[in-house]
Amino acid sequence: MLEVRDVTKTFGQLSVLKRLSLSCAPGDVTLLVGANGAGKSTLLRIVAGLSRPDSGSVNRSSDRIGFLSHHLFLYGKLSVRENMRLFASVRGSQDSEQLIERLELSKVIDRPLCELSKGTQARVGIARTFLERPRLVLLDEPTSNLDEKGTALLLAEIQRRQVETDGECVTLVATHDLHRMASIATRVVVLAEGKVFVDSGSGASAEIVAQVLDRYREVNR
Amino acid sequence: MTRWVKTLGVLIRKEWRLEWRSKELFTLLACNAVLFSVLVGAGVSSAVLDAATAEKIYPMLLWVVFMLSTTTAVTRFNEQELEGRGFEGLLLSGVSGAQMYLAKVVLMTLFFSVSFVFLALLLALSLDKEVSAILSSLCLVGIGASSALAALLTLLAAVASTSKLKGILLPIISIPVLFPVFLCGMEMTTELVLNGALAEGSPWPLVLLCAETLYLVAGINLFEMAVRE
Repeated sequence: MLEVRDVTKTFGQLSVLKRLSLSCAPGDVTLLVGANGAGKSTLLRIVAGLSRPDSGSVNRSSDRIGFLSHHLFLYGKLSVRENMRLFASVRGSQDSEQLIERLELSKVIDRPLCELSKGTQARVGIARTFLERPRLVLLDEPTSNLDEKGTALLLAEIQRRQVETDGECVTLVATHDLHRMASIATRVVVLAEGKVFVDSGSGASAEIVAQVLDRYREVNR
Repeated sequence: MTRWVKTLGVLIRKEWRLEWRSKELFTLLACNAVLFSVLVGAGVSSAVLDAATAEKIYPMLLWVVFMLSTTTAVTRFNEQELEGRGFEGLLLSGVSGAQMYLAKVVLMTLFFSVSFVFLALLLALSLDKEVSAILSSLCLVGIGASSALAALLTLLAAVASTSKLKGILLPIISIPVLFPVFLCGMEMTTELVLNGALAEGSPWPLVLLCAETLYLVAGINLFEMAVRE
C-alpha cells in the first residue's frame, strides 16, 4: 500500500508538485506519464524517501524499496559482483546468483561497472533494484538505455516480483515508453503541472489503459 | 546491534576497496607530504637557522604541513559516492548516515595516521633532527589527532562536495574549525620533543578528546543531511 497525500515540492521559484495525492493498492502496476517537467521523477524520489516534500506526507506499508533511475545507485569502480555483494550484505537479502543469471550478467560479473556499456549497466541497475526483494518498486524511465531484450528481462522481473509477493508488490513506473510498458500496466496516471490530470483507477483493464494512453498521446501530439 | 556493527564492517571494506582502486586519497596525501616537506625544509635551511632553532620549530612546522596536507587531500573524497549516487543506494537499503560517516572516518583515520608518521620522519630528515626516541609517542599523538581531523573533514568534505570550488573551499572552511586539533597536536609534540614525554597533568590530550567527541557528534547527526539532496 502506498499513500501520497497533498505533497508539494518547489525548487526555488519553480513549483514542481502542487498538493498531489495518489494512493496505490497492492498489486498495482501504475504508469506515471506526463510531459517533461510534469513532476514524475520528483514524485518517485519523494516516495523513495530520497527527497523530502515541502508539505504533505507519504505513507508506505514497507521500507523494502527497489528504485531504478538514470542514476544507478551503484559504485562505478567496484565490479558487478562486489556491488551486488555490498547491497546484499547491508540488507541481509538473498543470494544474487540467480538474479545475475536471469539478467544475463554472468559474463561481466567480475568487471568494474564503469567499463560496461550503458545497456549492461542498466541491467546491473535492475539487478540491484530487485536484489532486496522489494515490496515497493519505483522505476524512473527504466527502458531509456535498454534494448528489446533488456526491456523484456525487466518486464519479466516486474511480473516475477508480483508473483513472488502474491500480488502484494506496488509498482510505479515513470515512463515515456508507453508502447513497451503498457503491456504490464494495471493503471495509468497522467501528471500535468504537478497534479494528477487523469487517473484510470486501480485494476484497470487493458482496454481502459489503452484508452487513457491514446487520449494522452492525442493531447500531446 | 550486531547487525549494525556488521553493516559498518561491510561499509569499511567498501571504502577500502574504492580507495584501493582509485588510490586518490593515498596519492594526494603522499604527494602533499613530500611537496610541503621539501618546500618547508628548503625554506628553513635557506633561512640559515641553527640546529637548536630548527628543533624548536619542528613541532609547529610538522603540524602546519600536516594540516595543509590533509585538508587539501580530501577534496575528492566523496567523488565516487556522487558519480553513481552509491550513497543513495545505501540509504535505500536502510543504511544510516551515521554508519556511512563512521566507515569513512575509520578509513580516513588510517590514512591520516600513516601520512602523519611518514611526514614526521620526512620532515625530521629534511631538518636533520633525530626523532627515533620519541617516535612511538609521536605516533600515538598522530593517531589521536588524525581521528579528530578525520571526524571533522569527513563531514566538511560532504558539505563541500557539490561545490565547484571545493578545492579551495574545504581548506578555507576547515582550518579555522580544526584549530583546537592543531593546537593540541603542536603542544603535545613540543612536550615530546623537549622532554621526551608528555608533561604530567598535560591538559592537551583531554582537550583533543573533547574536540574529537564534538566533531563525531556533529558528524553522526549531520552527515546524512549533508549528503542528501
